[in-house]
Amino acid sequence: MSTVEIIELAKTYGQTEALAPTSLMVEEGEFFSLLGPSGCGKTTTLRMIAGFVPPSNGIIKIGGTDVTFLPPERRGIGIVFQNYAIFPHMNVFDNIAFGLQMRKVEKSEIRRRVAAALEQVGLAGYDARYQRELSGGEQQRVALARVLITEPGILLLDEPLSALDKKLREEMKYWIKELQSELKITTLYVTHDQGEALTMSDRIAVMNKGHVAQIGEPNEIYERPSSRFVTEFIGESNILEVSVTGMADGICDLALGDQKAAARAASTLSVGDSAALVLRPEQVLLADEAEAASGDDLCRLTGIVLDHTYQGAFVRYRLDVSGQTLIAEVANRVDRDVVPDGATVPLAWRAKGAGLLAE
Amino acid sequence: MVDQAQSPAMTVTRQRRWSERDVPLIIQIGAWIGFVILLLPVVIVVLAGLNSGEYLTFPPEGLSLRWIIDFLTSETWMGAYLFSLLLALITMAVSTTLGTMAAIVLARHQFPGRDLLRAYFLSPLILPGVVLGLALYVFFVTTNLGLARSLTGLVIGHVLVTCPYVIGTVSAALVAFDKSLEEAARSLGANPWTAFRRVTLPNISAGMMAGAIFAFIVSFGQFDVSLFLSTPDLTPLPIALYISLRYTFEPTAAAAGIFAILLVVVSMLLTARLVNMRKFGGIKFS
Repeated sequence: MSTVEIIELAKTYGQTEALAPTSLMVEEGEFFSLLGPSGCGKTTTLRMIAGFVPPSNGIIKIGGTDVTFLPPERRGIGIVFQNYAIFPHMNVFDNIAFGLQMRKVEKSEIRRRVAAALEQVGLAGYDARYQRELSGGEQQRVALARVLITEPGILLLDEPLSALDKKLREEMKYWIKELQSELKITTLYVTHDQGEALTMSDRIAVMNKGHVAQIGEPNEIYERPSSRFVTEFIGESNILEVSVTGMADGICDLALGDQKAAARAASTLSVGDSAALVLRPEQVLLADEAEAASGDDLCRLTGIVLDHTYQGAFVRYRLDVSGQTLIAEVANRVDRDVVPDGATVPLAWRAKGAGLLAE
Repeated sequence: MVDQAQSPAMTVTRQRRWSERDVPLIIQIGAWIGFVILLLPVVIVVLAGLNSGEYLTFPPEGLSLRWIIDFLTSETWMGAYLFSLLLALITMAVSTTLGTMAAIVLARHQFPGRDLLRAYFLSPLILPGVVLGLALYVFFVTTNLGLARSLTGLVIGHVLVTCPYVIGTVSAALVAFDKSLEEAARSLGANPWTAFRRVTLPNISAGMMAGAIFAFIVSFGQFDVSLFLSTPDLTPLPIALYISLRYTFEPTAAAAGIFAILLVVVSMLLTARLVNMRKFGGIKFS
């Protein structure tokens, strides 16, 4: 198991900057995700670490060793591709044995270890099958077994779930995470799916246009997005225009139109500044729930229900709060009545649950 | 049970009827005309070769094997036939090797003038064979490299003409080849050469095989380039046919044609069989 460190790593194609100089460190045994929309530089970063793309600038270290100029086969990496890249002319056994054959491992040893690897990924007895006889999920397991058998220092996963259907994707998500924490293998995971990144990662780097926008643990990224991009990319958020009216004990008092509101203080702001209030729809308390809540960091407002949609587990309201639209999601319970459209309702949120971004 | 067994069969017939109806009649007629035009000369050659008369005529005066036997026992004809076979085999080997390498460089490497180089590699396809043959002849004779009137010179000429076919089929195979397979091999510890040999090569082998068979057939039937480069000692079959028909009008030429057709058909069938075998091999082990 190793660490991965990139220092001022950059890649330009002609005039296009695929990755601006970026530094980050993946700790030993960590599950680290690069998350971002297509073209954000996450795959380029992964491919540079794997050794398939030469960097324009910077240094890559794996386990403390500078590997910037080493070919892929000498970096001690294992990579699973988006399409799994199972060798179509070899059966499952030969696919998985490939890495050991390259390392000149004895034949009987290879047989033993391939059998163990197949067992580990739940594909015992699949030895003689070919790629075209495997489902997407099975191919994925073969690809993982093929990589893990070589005991790589780091595991690189390039959107490994995107080719699977939704149900299988959910299943594989937990399976991969479980396998990873069992083996304690340092893992770099590239994805555009925030759900995958939030569920699986120890830490996430959210990327945009060749830059890292934010690095943090999943809850940090979700609850305390540091920029408008991260806010909008991860989950759904209300972004409301406010101005700062006061600051005390890490809490900002705000004016939201003609009403008073509050949020966590942001160090870059001072009284009189205008700012963007970031509030997740599930943080909004509505009607009875708002009235029943108490605490010093609670801010109370009123709004008018514009409309609502039934979503099964929750009801989603669109509210007018002093001229701005606010989305609130309220968990669906038997004892909770739906607030009718047009009604004026009390609403509330906790200042700790709302963030501020400088405009 | 009976219903279940019948219904899929019915669906199949319905589908077949549909697909036939999908092809407009005019295209079907066109296809048949083309087919007849393509096949007619073959039929004529075969019948002419089985002629029992003294001269190359059609329709034949009667059927016999005398010209076939004449062909098989004639040193000139069998010599030319075997020489063509040897030449085609050498050309096939050289063209497949060089063409595959060229296709890989053209497909994998970005460098200035790549498109120009690709056009240059494919130009023997467009250039008239006579021009090419003449150019090579002049080049060989004037440079005095020992290539004039040699087997090597003849092979060079044939490789020039057949290489574009290999480049074409292998390029197509490389486009279809998923490069992440090679990258996976590298990440698993294979050096570039091993990754190529163990992963890329087996996956483009169908394209190489198709290119090889093209090279073989084109070389075996090659006339214009051979015309300039052959000598009395090095006479491929098409040139022997030409010479024979200029001075005599023996049906042996048609008999030779039968064997030429046979060779091409057999080599095609063999390749098709080999390619299929590989596919079957995969399924058999499951």
